[in-house]
Amino acid sequence: MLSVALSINAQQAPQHEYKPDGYKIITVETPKDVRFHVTGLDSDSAGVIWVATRFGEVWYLKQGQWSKFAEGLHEPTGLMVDDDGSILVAQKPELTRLIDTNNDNKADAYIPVANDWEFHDNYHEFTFGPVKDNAGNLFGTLNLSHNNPDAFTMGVMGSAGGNRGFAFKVDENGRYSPYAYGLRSPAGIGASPSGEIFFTDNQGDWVPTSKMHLLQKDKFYGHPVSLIEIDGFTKEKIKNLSLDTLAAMSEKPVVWIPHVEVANSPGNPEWNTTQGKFGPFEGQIFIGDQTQSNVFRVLLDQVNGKYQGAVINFMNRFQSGNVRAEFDVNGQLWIGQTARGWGAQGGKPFGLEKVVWDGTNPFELLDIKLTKTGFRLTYTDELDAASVKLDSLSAQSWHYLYSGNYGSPKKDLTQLSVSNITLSKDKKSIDIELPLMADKIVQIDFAGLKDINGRSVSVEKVYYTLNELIE
Amino acid sequence: MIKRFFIVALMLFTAVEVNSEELDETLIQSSTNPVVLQQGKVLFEQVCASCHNKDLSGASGFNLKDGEWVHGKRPSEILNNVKNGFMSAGMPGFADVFSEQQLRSIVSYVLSKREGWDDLQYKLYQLDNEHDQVVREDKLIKSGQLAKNLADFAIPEVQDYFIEFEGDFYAPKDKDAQLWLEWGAPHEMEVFINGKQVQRGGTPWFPTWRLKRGKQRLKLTYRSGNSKPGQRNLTVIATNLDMTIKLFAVSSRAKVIMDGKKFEIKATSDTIVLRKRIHKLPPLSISVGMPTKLNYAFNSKTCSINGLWQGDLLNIGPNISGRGEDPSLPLGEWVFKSPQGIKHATDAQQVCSYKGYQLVNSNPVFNYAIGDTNFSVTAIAKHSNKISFLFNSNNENKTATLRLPASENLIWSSENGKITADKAVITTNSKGSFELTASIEK
Repeated sequence: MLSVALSINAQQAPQHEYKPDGYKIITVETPKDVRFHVTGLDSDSAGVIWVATRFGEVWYLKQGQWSKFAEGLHEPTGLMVDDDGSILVAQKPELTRLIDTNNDNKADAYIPVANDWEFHDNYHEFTFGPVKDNAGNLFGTLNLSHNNPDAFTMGVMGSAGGNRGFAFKVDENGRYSPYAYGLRSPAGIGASPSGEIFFTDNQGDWVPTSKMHLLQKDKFYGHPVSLIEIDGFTKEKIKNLSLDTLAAMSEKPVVWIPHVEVANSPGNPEWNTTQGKFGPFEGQIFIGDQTQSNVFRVLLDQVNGKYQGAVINFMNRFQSGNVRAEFDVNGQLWIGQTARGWGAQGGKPFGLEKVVWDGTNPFELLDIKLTKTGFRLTYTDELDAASVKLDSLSAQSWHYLYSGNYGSPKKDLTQLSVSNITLSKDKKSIDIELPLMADKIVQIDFAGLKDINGRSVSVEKVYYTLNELIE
Repeated sequence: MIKRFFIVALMLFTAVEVNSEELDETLIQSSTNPVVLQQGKVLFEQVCASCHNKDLSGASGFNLKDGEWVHGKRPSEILNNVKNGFMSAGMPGFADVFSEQQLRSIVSYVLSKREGWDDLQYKLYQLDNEHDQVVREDKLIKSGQLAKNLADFAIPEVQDYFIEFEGDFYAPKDKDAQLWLEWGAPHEMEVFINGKQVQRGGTPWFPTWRLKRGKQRLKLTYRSGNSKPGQRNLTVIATNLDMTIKLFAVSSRAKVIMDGKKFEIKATSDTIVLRKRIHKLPPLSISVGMPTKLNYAFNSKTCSINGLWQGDLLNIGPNISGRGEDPSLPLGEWVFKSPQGIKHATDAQQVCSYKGYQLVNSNPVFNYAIGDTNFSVTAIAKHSNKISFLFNSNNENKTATLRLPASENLIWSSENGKITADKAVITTNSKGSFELTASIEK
């Protein structure tokens, strides 16, 4: 009975508004009478904000004024300001460099950087990216198709070939190569400060809940239809692969992102490298969600040399669907939005907002790390020692079922008993002990904790993806 | 012979009616008369299309094809409104501009373009529970006429129900069409045409029902069953058979969606380059619209000119509304389209390499390479009947062969070589350039 009640509660988004103290959302005025669905977003070293819209235009915001830089593009869903100041934009059929050759502040050269994949005119065949690693290679991801009668499908999404469901690389010499496969709707890609590439994928067939992965060469990420382009596989052979075989072939995500509670359709991972301008969450990953109109954080951990980690909601009640996130040089978090075709909690069809911090130190979970016996949770402010007690916390665990079904409910949802809790000397961290099992998501609720000023957190649940225990 | 038929037709048409019912009948009769319709079409496109759009779908003026008639739907009322206008709404009266016969031809033309429901009625029955399938008169709780002539699936306010919509229905006369239900898998919708049930086709999630051409009696029924209450406001749209064009709304919810499927892009002062999915053109076709009302497409995969059409550029609405699953529609008449095109005759193994385009005073110059030869192509159209494609290459005084689209309406010419039925054998000049000009005959 308890497990039934838990599973019903499990799929609910937080009903309350959550935001850390000191943070607020500012709505940015966009050009009048322009369909400003922001699906590509970047900023340059001068603080100019660059936007690509689903309508097919590129605009920039400089000193409070919007100007149109390029137009006529095919539903771009990614934009990057390159080191030389030129703009790279990911159109459906092409990764394109936009250059202003005559210095009139408008692009006049539209040069293909890569178009080696196939685009079959299917609406779902988006191109996401690009991002650049520290060696100068560009990376992007290619969405599978939907409702394409010519595509090979084993559920909902399909591939008619041409590297659909792949990540790709374009090296410094402009050479294109397929890089990894098994992707579904990989709507967000990002480069970490050290140059590692991560991507998110959206919940659906063969993706039991949304997730974020480390992108690695020649790896398989779980959606089987792109295997048709891999040597040794045929459609028949792929269809006959057992779930266990496919699961064993698949990379584990760095984090699972619980459906509805945190995200349905996550966008790009964006690293906070603002050197404190955005408050205490330095070095952490921020991701917007298109459906929930929220922003959540990813807290990376490294266990046995591999990434895993946790997700935690950050702010909700944005005006539209959050698909793009970008920190500018002033430490503001810009959020690009669209809700066309895929609805969002925020009622507006499109827009641009930004999150700013006023210097107030909030009281929230700062970080979580796995220990041999449980977790160390670190907060942004000193904890009230009186609140550090066992009944201030609770925990549960579950896993997801990998299959061709559209998403998975929580499986084997189990209450975990927290057996010990210890406050650190600096009063900002607690160590908790609880039973640990690999390949589980562990949710820890800490609503009962208070800081020394009597504040409670605005977000009281963290979800840790426990791929591995510490060896 | 044609002229005589025309005179007879017009004589019939100007006979004096004693009352508005007779006038209604006369106008309905003439809405199937091709001579009258041709005259009405010409006049409509000259004077009415600027506000109501060439395809009657509405712009600053109302949509004249659908079932919603704000000022009266009877043919005699429409004629009266065309004569007297609504100056406060910006529509002049045309009584002093055209003859009675000309005005009637316009109304007949409008009537001939009618699509969707007319005289649409509904009946709502309350059922006992989600399993109840017995529809009896004593369960009828609501009925009436739907003034907007759209099946309104949001009418029921009870949990379990059966609703039926019935009325006259106008499908296209000149092409096959079907009803399409979006996300239809959980829904018990049934369709009856002229009293006979139509088989449900299409796919489970996107079922379809074939329509007859022209006017028919249509009934839709829907039982709520165990479908989710939030999903019962159904989207029903008339589409072409390959589903590439959504023609018009059949339900209220569909109307909202269809209104978003119109976003016309027209080159007025500058040339426009636009990359979208385009109906009847393959992927990777880049469209170019010129203010002289000529448009072409360059395909970046085949490095060919694979489409040419007169009129305006594109209605991109279908490609930018909802999820953008439908292609943009050219706003004019094709001169040629893929697989026809202007293409280099090359070895089968030789692939072209697209190098992008450069805008020169808004006009795109497309760059590509075939083997070791770099090419560029751009177009100049001084008016809507003539277009010149200017090619440039890094090969001076060399011979090249280009395949040309075969069309009786096209006359090709070039000062750089010889044109035969379907190809041009040209020699580049000392600067590596050559030109191909197409004159479009009416």
